[in-house]
Amino acid sequence: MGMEESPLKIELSSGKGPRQSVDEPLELSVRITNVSDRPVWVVGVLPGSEGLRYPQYRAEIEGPSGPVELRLPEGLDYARGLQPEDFVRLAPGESFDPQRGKGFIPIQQLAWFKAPEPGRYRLRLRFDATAEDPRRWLGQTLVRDRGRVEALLKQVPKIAVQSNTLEIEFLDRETGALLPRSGAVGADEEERGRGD
Amino acid sequence: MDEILSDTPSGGGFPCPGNQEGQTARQARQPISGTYVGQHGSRRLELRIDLREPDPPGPYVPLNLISGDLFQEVGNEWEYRSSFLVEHPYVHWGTDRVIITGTMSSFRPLEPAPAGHETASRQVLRITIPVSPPQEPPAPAMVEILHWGTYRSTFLCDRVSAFFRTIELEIDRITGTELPRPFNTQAVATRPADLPAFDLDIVRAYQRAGVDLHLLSDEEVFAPAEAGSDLTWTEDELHNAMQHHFSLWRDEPQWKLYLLIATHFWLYPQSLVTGIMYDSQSRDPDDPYPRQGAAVFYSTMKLAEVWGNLPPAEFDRNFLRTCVHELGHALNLLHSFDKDQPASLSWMNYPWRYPYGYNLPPGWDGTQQFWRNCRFEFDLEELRHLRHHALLEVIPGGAAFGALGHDLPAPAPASLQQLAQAPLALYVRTRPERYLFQFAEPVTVELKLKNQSQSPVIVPNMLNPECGLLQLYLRDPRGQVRLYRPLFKLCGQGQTTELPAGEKLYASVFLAYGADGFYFQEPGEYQIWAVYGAGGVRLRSNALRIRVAFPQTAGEEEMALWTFGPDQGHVLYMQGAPHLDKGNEQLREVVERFPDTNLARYIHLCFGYSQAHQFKDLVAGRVRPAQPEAAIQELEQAVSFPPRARQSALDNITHGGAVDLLYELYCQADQPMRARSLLTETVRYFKRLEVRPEVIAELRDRAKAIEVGESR
Repeated sequence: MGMEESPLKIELSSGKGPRQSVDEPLELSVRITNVSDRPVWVVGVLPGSEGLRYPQYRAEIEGPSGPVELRLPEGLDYARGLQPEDFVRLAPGESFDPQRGKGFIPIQQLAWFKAPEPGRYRLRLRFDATAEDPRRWLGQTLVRDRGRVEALLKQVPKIAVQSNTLEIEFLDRETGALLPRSGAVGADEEERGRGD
Repeated sequence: MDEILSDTPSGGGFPCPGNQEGQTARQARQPISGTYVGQHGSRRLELRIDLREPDPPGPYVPLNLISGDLFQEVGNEWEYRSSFLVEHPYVHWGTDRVIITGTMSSFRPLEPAPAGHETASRQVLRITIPVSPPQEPPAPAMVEILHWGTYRSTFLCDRVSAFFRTIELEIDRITGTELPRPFNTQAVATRPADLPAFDLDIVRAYQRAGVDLHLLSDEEVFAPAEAGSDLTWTEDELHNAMQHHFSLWRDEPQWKLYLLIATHFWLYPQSLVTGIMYDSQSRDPDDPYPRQGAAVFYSTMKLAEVWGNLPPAEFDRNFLRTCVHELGHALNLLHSFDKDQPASLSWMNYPWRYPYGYNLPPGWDGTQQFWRNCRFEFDLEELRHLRHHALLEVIPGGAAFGALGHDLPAPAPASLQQLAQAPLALYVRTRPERYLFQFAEPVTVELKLKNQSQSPVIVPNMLNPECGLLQLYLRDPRGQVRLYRPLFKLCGQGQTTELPAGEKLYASVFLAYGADGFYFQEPGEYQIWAVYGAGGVRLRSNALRIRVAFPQTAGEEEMALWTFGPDQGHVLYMQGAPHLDKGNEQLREVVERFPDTNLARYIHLCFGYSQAHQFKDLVAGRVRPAQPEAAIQELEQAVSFPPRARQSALDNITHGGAVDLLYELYCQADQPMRARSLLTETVRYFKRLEVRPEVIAELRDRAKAIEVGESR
């Protein structure tokens, strides 16, 4: 299934609006909506979803000085086993927050992210459920009801979906300025055009 | 020889007074903790004795537990059958022998239970170990398993180790990597200020946990080419390397482990994984013998952005921690933050995630905080797992990683018929009797231990869960069973009391708040039951049903906001805590806004107790004197009946305690009339409730004494 046919839509939004102080934590909401006319099974964010296991929820952030490194200080060495209750059935038009409820956790890269400098940042989230091999999903610890989990897993569409790009201006805490200003390395084309 | 215990099939099997742990003999002796092995016919017992010794402490923290594994001879091999645990064993440290008794709880049934009997409650362990002087070899232990009312098995067991598990560890490495070096705890700047200096390596780290690792000396160094062309290791490649290079490897459960010092994990450079226990279900979900090997990634650890730029001692510490951590996974230990304990200072936590786990603040790095407090230990739950859990849960090649299903199940409550027939019966009840509790009202229950036999019984006088002999279980409205965990554990020498035939012991237990917070926040029906085990008897109570009402008004809903905080919980639990300003303020708010509730009366009780006594504030360095007048006002409110109620908001024992204190305060304030009137009212109230006659008689006598004093 190609990305253009995706039954799912992912929206990233900021609870603090388009501007916030550089030292404030991000308040990002994620909504996954079933935009198809059939029910869809999905799995929320689990320990290890930043890379060790599927589904993957990986963030990409571009700051005023270019792409921001989002490697956690030490990667997880195991992820808990996938359980039947980790699956969410979305009716057509229904949405859910993959970071909340059940055994879901915040997207670790986004929870941990701190803007290294003031300026304009572009954030994007990639949801990846493309792995066909169940082993890439199961995690390392015991799966209680493997038969059921594998049956549910078959119903999860093996797709990757990109979220909208969210722009947030991180302002200097003291001056309130958006630094660096025009001509900043990595500033997007639209902004550069206005600056010229 | 002074003793001996009275474990008999007819019940009442508590040891005689004086048989408690803590009686120390004066002469030097061999320590007795460790592993014992013995045989009885075609059965073999591996026994672990883990006790606080009266002599100087051993190399590990004692847990005061006995556990064991039983095997059956099949052909020429010992086939594992089951494991058991004895909590709160009774220990008599005699001059010529040590006698240990306790009730066995099975991780799995030891024997098929005869009809009408329950396995877990029928088996008693008695261990007798002659005392040996330090220069002599340790004496064997006589271990008797007493099967309730039927027969006994006796094993003569030799002490084979001072530790509880013995594991052979083989370490290999990839060309270009190094083995972890020992490091001294004083060599790192960031450490607890009072941490003594000692050398640590993998072997010593595990010995401190009571696990004896034998490091094999045939280290092998091989080329990274086995990792494939990308030179990073997948789980399959690591498993393959283990099968080829682990000289002791066999595809079966065995106390042998393999550690490979490798280069990078396959997720590098996307993710900085420093170690992995690769033998898990993500490699092969059908592998019947997982958890036999782990790897650590030296090249990743050496990266400047990981630990490559740290001072050598800090690198050595982190390298060691990674090895101990990964081997912990191979012994089936999970991360601290996967067990809802992100603030644990264990080897099994991630220093940088400390104390938040998955709930990371932006840019957080808790590494310094972690190492400033870490004492290079496993936490108590992990120690219990490593030393005493069922064999297959721990042994490499045993149960799947994360399969901890053999843990002791919550014991079921007893039926009323079982209780009626038992020589010693334990009841959980409410007095005055009630089913419905108001929303946010503190739940207290009364425990009654009754000797229903024809002869006196010696029992430990410790019905409070803080003493550790009694556990309370709660089934919440969603059907989940939780163990109530008190805020504090009381350590110390146990006391026993003689309970004559037909006599009872009572205790009031506050259950609303404990180590896991508030236990009755949710409206709905709860069941509460108790299990009491010591010295060879295990009692299960009835299940008490209570219901927590839904909030009647929006205002009552708001009461939750003022009440359900940790400081408030502490004030209620401790019946007053003047130093917890925030908690006291919030509870004062409850009293003012909701004066007619049972909760308000309980808060008055806490404030009354608090004000009746002086309070030494060690932090502020001052003593707050007692405020008897204020205490009287609070206690008068506490014992008053709520509007339209015919009974006190407090349970009988708590009500009686409040009356006693109020009576004393009246007497101190020279108010005999009020004291007498209080006692007379209480007599009337307790008579209506059919409280024990001796309690009523005692109150009446005191009231009469005041009368006589006045007339003189």
